[in-house]
Amino acid sequence: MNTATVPISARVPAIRMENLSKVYDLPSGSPGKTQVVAADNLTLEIAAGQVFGLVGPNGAGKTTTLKMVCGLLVPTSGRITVQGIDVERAPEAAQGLIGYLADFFSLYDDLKVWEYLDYFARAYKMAPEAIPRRIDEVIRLMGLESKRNGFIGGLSRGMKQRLGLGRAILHDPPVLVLDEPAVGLDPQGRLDFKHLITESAHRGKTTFITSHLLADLEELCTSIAILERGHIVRMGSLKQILSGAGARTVRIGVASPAFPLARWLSARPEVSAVAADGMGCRFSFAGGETELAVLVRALVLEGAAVCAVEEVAQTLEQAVSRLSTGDVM
Amino acid sequence: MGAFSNPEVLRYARAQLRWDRMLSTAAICGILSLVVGYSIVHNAQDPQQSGLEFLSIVVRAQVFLLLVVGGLAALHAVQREKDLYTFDFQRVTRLTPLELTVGKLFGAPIFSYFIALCLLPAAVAGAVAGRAHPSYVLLSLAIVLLGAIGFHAFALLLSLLVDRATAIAGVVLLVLIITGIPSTVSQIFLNLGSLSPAYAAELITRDAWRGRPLLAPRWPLSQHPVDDVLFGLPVDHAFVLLALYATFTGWCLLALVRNIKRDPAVYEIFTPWQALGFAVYVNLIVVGFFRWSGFGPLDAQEVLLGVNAGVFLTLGVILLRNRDHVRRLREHHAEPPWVALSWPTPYLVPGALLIGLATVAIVEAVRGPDAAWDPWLAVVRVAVISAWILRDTLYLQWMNLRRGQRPLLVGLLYLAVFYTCAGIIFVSFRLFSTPAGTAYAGIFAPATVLALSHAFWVDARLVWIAGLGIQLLAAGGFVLLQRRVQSDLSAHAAVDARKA
Repeated sequence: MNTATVPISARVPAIRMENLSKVYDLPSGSPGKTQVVAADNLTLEIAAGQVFGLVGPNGAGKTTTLKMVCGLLVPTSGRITVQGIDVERAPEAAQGLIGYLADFFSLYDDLKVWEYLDYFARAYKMAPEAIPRRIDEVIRLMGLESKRNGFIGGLSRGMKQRLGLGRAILHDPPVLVLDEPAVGLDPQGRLDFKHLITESAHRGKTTFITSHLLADLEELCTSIAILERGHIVRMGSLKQILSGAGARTVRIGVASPAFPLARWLSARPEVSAVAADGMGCRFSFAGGETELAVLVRALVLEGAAVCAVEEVAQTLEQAVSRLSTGDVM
Repeated sequence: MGAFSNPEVLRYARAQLRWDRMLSTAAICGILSLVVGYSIVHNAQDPQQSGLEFLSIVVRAQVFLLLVVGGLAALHAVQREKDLYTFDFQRVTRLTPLELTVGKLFGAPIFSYFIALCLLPAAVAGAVAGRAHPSYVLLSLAIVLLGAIGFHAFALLLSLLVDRATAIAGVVLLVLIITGIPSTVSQIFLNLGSLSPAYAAELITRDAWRGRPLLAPRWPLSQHPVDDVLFGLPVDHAFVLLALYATFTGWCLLALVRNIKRDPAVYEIFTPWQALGFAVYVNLIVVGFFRWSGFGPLDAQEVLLGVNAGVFLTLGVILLRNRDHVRRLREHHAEPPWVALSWPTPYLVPGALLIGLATVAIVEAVRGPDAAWDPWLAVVRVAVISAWILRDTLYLQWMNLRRGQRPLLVGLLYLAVFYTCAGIIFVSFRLFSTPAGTAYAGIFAPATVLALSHAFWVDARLVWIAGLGIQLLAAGGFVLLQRRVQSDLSAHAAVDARKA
């Protein structure tokens, strides 16, 4: 069981999973295995106001997990609550609190943009008098003003993605469940999207998000879980994930071009993955500050004119790459 | 939330009823109505007759359009959404299952309703010219509407539960049933007229309350008696139709509401008690309208028990569980092991026995004092049929739990091949010509018991009773096989999958 939990800032977590499992059958004729575990006894809590990223390779079970949170798939075992409401027992009540965007979807091409939003506003049972104003607001927020009365069939892919996102936030849900939401968005769209999520988090909204664009997640997420074969291999705040991903990356610059820096570093046991970087080298260093000071002193004693020692910040992509074994189901 | 403020209805209306489309449809309907109306009036001798004929044609056209255009739209209502991945978004809204169902039921075929509405002026013109009875005009309208709603509800249910090809096959089957029943089955077995909404076209031409239609029938069997006979009492067929449509729609709605927002992996059309209720409903219709005068007591039981066997075998297929469902139940320890291993027979077999024995009691009560009747034979028939339901349902449940693409379809296919081969062999060996041969055949194909005569039963009682025991043993064998498959679905198996 994965018992690590994200710190809870509110009494009732926005999303809570308890021993959540989902087992699928593999097609007959598959060698060896007969079934696959898409979610393996997951236990986690996401507090209100968090932006929680679920990352992992294809087939890790991310979409399955998100769909179970939305009540679209029933778990084989375990329980999910959204703001304290059991998704399986009271699906409509829980679903009313969720804004969901799937990784792959279509829209109704034979509707106009405003009609599409109007349909979902009514389906979410928003107050009728508030609907027109909210539709205008969402259209403006998504940058679709010029397409308000256009048919959805005539929109570009990026615009459709914006409209899908607009639908998910239309009823101002306290919980957003977004599966690859930035796919197809242009750079401006991605910026707007990140602003939207950050703004939502400031207003106490919770976002549960998966994406392969880890750079985006790094900017957005307060917490991350790395999922592999339905199993959480690491979970925690973004800082914990980045700092707990093993070796740090360090760059040392020297002012003596003749010194064989790369060869010298490669011979050190605490150093790995040495790469030349201009007048210096970038490498992974498995040690603390004291060990680094010892390394630099040894380098100076060897005659190298050390002119720079800096720690290179690790990206989420690097952290995930280190922590993940890359296993897929 | 009313049907017309339902967001789903509004969405379909916006998508299907754009002004340009509505205007062109109205224009086409208007032109066609004028042309057909003119051609009828031009050739007619009697204005009233021609008015009624025109009215009848318009009503038939409305029925056809509502059933075909509306039926196809309802058939695509869920499947298309699933194809486009939009159905999940609908499920994650605050719409209740009832609201979503009603929205799709009235929304998806909304264009067919509009076409029918465009033909309404023509119908009114025909009714005025033909001096149609106003109460029949209203009654016909109710039949057309309720019939279409029932048909759309059935198509929507198929759209939700099965794949496209099966859904189309189901709708075609229903069309055959509602058009074929009047001229075949109901004339032979039941005191029940046409089940087609096109009956409205006949009803609307009646000259007076409960009078005969003024128009001559187009086909020898296409005109029906005004009254059906329900439990010996004459009931106007129009009201019977309305009641049947309403109740049929109710059953479809029940299944739709129960499943429309569920995970497709755990669809369950009815709860076991609802399924038993449906079986009682079908039996009430068959027993209520049964043409008792045409059959002796044993023949009557044969027909009623045959219908029952069909109903319960169908319910058995409906109630079967898939691997996902069983896996979840095992994880939750939701029921005693004996129920899990013998599912769905703890409900089916007592139900089949109960209704079968009730049928025996009814036949006993209504039979003439001199008619040939053997209550023991009747009871053995019920027992053998119940054992057959037990055996085949347990076999199908076992097959449905096997890993594969379409395990249930494969199970049904094997069953069909088995009965076909058995039938050919029995006929080749002339087993049905002797009492013992018939009894041995009954072990493999228990439906043989339906046609078992008193004389054949008396001569081979022991074989029949031994055959009953063999059926139960075979059922036990399928329970054991199912137990093996179910152990593969346990938590241990999931752990193994994790480790693999």
